[in-house]
Amino acid sequence: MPSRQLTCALALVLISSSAGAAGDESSQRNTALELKLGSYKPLIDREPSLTGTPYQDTFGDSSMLLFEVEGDRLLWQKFGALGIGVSAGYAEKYGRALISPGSGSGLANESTALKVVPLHLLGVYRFDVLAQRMNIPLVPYAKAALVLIPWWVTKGGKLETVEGSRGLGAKWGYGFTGGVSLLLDFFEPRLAKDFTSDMGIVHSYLFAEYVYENVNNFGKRGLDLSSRHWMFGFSMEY
Amino acid sequence: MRYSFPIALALMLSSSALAQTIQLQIDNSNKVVVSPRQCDTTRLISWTASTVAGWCTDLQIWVTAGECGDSPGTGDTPQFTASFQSTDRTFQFQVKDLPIFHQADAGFMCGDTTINQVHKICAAAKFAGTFGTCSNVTRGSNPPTIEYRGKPPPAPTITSLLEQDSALTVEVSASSDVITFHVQVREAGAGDFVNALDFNASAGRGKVEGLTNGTLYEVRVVGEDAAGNLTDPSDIVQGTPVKSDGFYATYRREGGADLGGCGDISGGGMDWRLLLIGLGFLPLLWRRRSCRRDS
Repeated sequence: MPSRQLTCALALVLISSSAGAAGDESSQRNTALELKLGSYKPLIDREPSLTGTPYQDTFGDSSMLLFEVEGDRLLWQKFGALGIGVSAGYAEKYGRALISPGSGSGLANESTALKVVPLHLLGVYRFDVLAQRMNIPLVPYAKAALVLIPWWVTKGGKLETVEGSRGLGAKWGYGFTGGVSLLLDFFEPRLAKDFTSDMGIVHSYLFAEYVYENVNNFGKRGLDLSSRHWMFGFSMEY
Repeated sequence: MRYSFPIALALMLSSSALAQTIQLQIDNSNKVVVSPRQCDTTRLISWTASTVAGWCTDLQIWVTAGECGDSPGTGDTPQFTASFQSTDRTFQFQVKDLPIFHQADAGFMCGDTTINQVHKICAAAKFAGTFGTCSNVTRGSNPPTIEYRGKPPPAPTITSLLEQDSALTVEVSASSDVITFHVQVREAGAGDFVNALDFNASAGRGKVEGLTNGTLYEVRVVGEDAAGNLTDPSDIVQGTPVKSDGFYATYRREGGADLGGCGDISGGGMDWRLLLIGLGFLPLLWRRRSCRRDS
């Protein structure tokens, strides 16, 4: 029990000592830039018409490493901040091609890869009231997105073609994101002020977010690039 | 005080000596390799000098199979003499005139396929030293080389042969003198080998495509050096291309309904152009806010 009290006391000291660091409401910002990484594993194998698990068979259980850049424009800042944004990312997954049934079995001496470029048109709400008014360095946020994911498949370094069909296309979908940002200004208030005066960066954050996306042309047949995954990153507000 | 003038003069002359440099090239390069088939070809030596002020002899240029000295040695041919006033600063010679073919006891004829020999292109001139004596020698810096390469490098080795979809990828190792590999292929035991692929030796591997899956092929590799000499063929290795499925083929084989292409975009019930139009509005929103702030 005493240890829990000590922890609470330390947290209070930390918060109160940093009071004022982010409480400056005059620090208006219009734009946010996010850089993020996460593991993206498309739910390809859940496509109803499939009789097997092609993603698992080719790439195993592992996910793709997804890198994304997002830019948001804050349009309304009364109680929290509301804005719109766009993002673009890239992920690829390499595995070994499989020897065709009828020619043998096992792994072939060629690589194959699935590559995707997730694009998002986003609506963003950032509940930064806690940080702005109560000096709690946490900013919960939520996003809703229209998603477009161009994809293509290579084998042996070239675009794969099967019976005249080229292995590339694009999938529409939608997604929701929930996350929380940790306002870094609280930990280095002086540095944060230098950032603001020298570079125009009003706030900087570390964040984690959970992404829930259905990207299968709104339930149509075909490649299902839906996913549920975590992203982690760094963001700045100007 | 009375020594100051000679000291100053000596310093001046020695400083000009330090500045003297002669640069040579052969065929506009620093290194040339020739083969026995090129005995009658002509090669071009060119020279430049940082300054010719103070030269008191003509420039001598020669080719040697040894090291460059202050003057040509016995058997160092061809030799040329250039006036420092000359405007044409080039000389020509034929490969068969290299010293290795002109030494009385060497016993080699141009075209010999048993020897390799590196020759250096040398130059030297004298210029006025301290007190005006014609005694200081300047040599060509970084002498370029011409290598007569009669012996081809040893045969390359096929280190692996990967059986792929309608293709065979061959990995090869060879002497560093080899700059190009020629991959030769034939159906096992049938007909002559046909050159199927050439690739740069620095790549280490090459892919022969357009083969028939399920057919046994024999593969061998011939190396080529900078002089154009061909090595003996490597040992023959056999391989059979095998059909394989990449991710998309596996997906389709297992019942995947996506036919690829961009046609499926509109198949989703939404025109993809709508998104582009939507994205097009974003700059307007940016601009509107900027205008409001400015006003």
